[in-house]
Amino acid sequence: MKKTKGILAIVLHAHLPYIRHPDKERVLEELWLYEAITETYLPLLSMFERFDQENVPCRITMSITPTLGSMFLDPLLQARYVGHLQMMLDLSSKELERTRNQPEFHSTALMYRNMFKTSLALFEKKYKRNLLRAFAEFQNKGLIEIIASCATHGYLPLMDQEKAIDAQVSVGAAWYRKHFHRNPEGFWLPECGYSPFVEESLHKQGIKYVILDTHGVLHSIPKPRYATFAPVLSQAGIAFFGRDVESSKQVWSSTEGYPGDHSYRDFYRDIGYDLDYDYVSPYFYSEQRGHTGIKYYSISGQDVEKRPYCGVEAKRKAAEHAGNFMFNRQKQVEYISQFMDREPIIIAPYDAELFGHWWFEGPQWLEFLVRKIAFDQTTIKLGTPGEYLKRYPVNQVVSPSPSSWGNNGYSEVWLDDCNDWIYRHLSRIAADMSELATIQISPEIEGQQLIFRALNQAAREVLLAQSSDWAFIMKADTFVGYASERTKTHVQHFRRLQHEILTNSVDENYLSYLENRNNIFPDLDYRVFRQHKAETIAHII
Amino acid sequence: MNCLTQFQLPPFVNKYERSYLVCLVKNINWIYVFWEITTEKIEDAWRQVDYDPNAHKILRVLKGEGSKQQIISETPIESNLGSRYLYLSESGQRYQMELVLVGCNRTVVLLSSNFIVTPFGTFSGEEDEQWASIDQLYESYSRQLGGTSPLRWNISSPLAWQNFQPQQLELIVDAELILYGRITPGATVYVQGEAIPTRRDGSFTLKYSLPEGCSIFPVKAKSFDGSLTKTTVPVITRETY
Repeated sequence: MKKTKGILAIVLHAHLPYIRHPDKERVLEELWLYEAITETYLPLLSMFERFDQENVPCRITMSITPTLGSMFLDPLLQARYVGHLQMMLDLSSKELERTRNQPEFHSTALMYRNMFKTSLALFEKKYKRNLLRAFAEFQNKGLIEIIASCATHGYLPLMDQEKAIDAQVSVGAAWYRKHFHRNPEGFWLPECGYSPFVEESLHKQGIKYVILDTHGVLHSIPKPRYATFAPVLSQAGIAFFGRDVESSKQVWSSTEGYPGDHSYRDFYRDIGYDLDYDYVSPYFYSEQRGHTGIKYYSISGQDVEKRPYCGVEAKRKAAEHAGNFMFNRQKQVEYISQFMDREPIIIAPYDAELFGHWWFEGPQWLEFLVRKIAFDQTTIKLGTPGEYLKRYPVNQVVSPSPSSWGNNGYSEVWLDDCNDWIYRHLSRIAADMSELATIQISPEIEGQQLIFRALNQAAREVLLAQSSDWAFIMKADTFVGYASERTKTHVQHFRRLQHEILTNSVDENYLSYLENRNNIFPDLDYRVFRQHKAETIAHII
Repeated sequence: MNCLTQFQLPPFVNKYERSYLVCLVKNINWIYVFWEITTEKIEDAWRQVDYDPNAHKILRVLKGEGSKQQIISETPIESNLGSRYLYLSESGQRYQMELVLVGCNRTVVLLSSNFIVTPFGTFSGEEDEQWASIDQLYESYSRQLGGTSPLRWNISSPLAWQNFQPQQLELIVDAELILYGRITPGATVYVQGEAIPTRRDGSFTLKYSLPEGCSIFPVKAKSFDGSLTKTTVPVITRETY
């Protein structure tokens, strides 16, 4: 077999903030998870299943954040997802009937009916509601490499407290160890947010590599010899892989990217907005009109009447675009490899939800791409950053530049006039949590159990307040009320717990309520926020 | 079922009655600074400047660190609780902020912020290349942090340097304890009840001060799924004669 000249590393970042409201029946924001499971995660698992059965060589890197993974495992959300699917089956059955005499829409209605039916069967029967285990099994089979991430997707460059960074990283790494039964080698920095202050925490968890946006590596000091086509190392012994500009643009760009092709399904034109309110409203998660997930039109183009969606045509386009993407990577590798003493690696990170949720045909495109790379050429192969490091452990040592993959490349998305008010509170509760963490408690001693639980819940509230999603939503001006409320209530819960802990007056009713409601990280130990005491432990290596 | 409205939450307030100064990097040239100074702290500072009527508060930007730190800008501020965006012309630098009360005869530093590093913003002109293996750097960084490896460890004395009188003979001796071991990678190890980080291969090393008398170090290992546990208890006695 001809030797390949370079490696393509596709990285899918799977994340959603922790949204779970046991005291409410239907919560609009919980729908984000249900849509993502149906449109992205089940299609991805089905794709991996086919690769496995047909022996298609596949190496894809995935980060599954602890918040998303914990929601995958939550019995309440699992049951609610089943309820959601049953509701969607009902709506899609009605749609089959409604479109019976509309041939231009009927086949699409049938597609949705099949999609919900298949999703229910996969979720209930095949995966027994446990999607995290399904992904873990594909990692064990060698199809994917799962990397760790921060506890609640905290944006590290905007954390001034060292222990806040440390807690986000160490809780994320511990969650990974617990669920994937191995030490994490790679780590997804939320929003690719890097500042040099994160390195010590990553180092302490034995992390080998992270991914930065292009300029994080390109602007390193000194200049990286191989640009983003090989990793660079920092003095802390961590490898930094830089996002490739070309492959990113072809998929991400709203103007030049594939997902904007006129044949693909239009995300925004949903029957939730088109059909009679009384007909669709029983399927809404709020009183306002919203998305149902059933959409009958293709993007069609600007200033033209929307055309009915044609699944066959869209699939043909996905195949064509996969071929085009592969061709461009081949040319890129052929050119770059002339200037390198090793195989170049092309790092192509994407939000996992781009595939299926935002870009409906994304999973098809990905499947075509993997198959084409495996069988239609010999220039490139799929690989992971972890494998690349094992093969090429010696790399250039630099200082990477602080950066993120947000708009304009730094922290402007998460630090702006509309969301800067949150940082005073996030900084204070992290500092106060570090102080609370100095409290010595033995949960085995009678009478101290309640305080121990309260301290752990206080730590949970701090972590949940730190999710980068809240600041992002405020900036995106979408669900601002929800994001502000989440930030404020986690801060207020922390404040109340702090007061009760310090005055030894923990209200068990309230604590139990919080433990049930914000139940992420059941094993969390508040001492993750503790500064190592010089007199006891001089240093932990 | 309980619901949130059943429980009273404290009001969401901006004031924490604590003194702090925090600095965050927005982009290459802009930083965001917020602060709070308690009444006690400001009153104490006024006392120190002898209630100088011309004394005023300024937010000072310092570049670099340690003895090389230099003041690059000063912005007057009024409020004891506030925030503002500041422009820094030089990218790729290490900065720190200070909030100071400046009197005619004396300047009192009220607060110092965290350190920040601003983005480099452009391609580096520096082309010197250093190449190394990831494990080599990892080990060396561990040592730099003060840690040691079970296989290659050097004990550094924790004693502070002292100037001895030339005509006297003095002797100071202390001792440290290095506790090290290895568990199945991925399992958790607890020392004295606290979970401790392990290396990629499952090994761990802890360095303790060792007081006179008997010190007990219960070490407990727990498998991934929590189904298996193993405990060992080294008891170390230090006696000095």
